[in-house]
Amino acid sequence: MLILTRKLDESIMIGNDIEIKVVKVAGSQVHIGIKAPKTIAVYRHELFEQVMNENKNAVQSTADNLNSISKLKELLGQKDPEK
Amino acid sequence: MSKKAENKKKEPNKIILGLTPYDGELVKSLGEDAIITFKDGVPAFEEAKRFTLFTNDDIKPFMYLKSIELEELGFVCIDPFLINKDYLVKISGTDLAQLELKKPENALVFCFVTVRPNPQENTANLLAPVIVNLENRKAKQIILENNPVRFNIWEGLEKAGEK
Repeated sequence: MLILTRKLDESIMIGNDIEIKVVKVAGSQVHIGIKAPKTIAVYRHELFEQVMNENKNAVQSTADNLNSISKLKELLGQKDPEK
Repeated sequence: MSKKAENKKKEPNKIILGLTPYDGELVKSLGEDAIITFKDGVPAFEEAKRFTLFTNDDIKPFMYLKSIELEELGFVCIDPFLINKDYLVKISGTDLAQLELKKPENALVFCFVTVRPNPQENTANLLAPVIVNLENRKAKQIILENNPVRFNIWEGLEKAGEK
């Protein structure tokens, strides 16, 4: 990983059109400003990680999945939330 | 530049989808052999790009998204509006462009279900719904910040029923 040292209000360019700027530093928190074209998606990394993890959790083999659906369906049919 | 509001200002062509009635017919109309394409795959399964989606009276209101490339890969899905009437899907300009989506009525929205041994603990991923453009069958799993990654389906259905 490339590591650069930046001070407050200094920025980094990625290519011609992505700018990343250190906007505020407060203790262990760093506020980062990002200027990027609309076609670039910007997310917090942990959000994306959450999605990947949950996608992995959601996968089961086809047979298992279809099995679980019918189980859930039965339950929905009951409509009775007890137990 | 430092103000949070700045981000929100400029997103001219986004589509906001609210409550739409569940329509199994819509999914059926795709046909079981209709291929849905995720250009960049599904996060964590980037190699899986082509899927079929089906539902039938046996599994309704659930749907099943089955990978073509990876035989064993599949996701149980549900219409999020069915379990959370307050759910709002804001599709950004970036995503709209990728999907070539122009009209809200061409969008099919569903969420992946995480199936657990106790069906009452099953959850739907409202953080990352899948949007399908029914016109060209391009699909993408988008991220909607501030939505739960694990939304309890059972409780959601109960609440939805109460209203």
